[in-house]
Amino acid sequence: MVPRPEIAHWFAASVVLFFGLVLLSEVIVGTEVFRRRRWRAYLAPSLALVGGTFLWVIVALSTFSTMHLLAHAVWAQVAMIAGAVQLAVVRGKLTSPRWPLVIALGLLACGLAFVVHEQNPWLFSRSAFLHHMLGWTLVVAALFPLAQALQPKRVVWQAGFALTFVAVAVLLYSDRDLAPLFGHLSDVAGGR
Amino acid sequence: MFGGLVWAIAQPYRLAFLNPDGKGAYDYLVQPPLLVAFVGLVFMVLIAPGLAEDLERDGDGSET
Repeated sequence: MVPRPEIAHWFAASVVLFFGLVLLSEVIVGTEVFRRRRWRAYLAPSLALVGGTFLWVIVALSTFSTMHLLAHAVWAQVAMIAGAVQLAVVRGKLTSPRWPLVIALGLLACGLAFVVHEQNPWLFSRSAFLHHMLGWTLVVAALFPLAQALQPKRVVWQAGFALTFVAVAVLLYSDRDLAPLFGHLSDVAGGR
Repeated sequence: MFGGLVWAIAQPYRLAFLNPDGKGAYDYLVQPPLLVAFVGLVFMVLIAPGLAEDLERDGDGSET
């Protein structure tokens, strides 16, 4: 049985929440302590890579519109690139402090993919509102890795980056296939 | 985990086993309050103990 889209989104929210908690715990204890066990250092990049792989599976098996397919493909590609770059950084293959710029570009691309593929206005339905909200959250959050690339020692950017994923998880958990927003649901949203 | 528990109390109708009419397997297993609690549990079991241990060891090392 194929799960409903909202259920797939809640699964994704759980992965994103775990990812955010891992990043947040690194901020709290400090990178040095966090990376004392090697597997922990590889955990977040590996999650991104595995998440990207699953997103590609969804793209390959999808039956939704071309716009949705392209957006999921963008998220899949960005997750894999970000995971690969972060793995190389943790492994010591990439040493420049400017590598977070790749993550910043990735978040920007993900945010724009959300905003562009949602063709309904903000208050059309809860799903439309969340697409816009997720998109703009990611666009603004791209500033965190950008600032991290410029000021690598400031923990506040790292914390902002980690909290972004907790916020994204909350938004994804709020998703429903068809639900009103503040009591408002467009007459053409379907299901009536 | 606490977040999931609070959510379940705030919106008990989201838990299929409390409101089973017309619900499928996914509705029983995959509801946000349960998922949030599960993520918290996984973090508590897999990540938190090792981090606490390393942090404690780090504290001992810096004192000596």
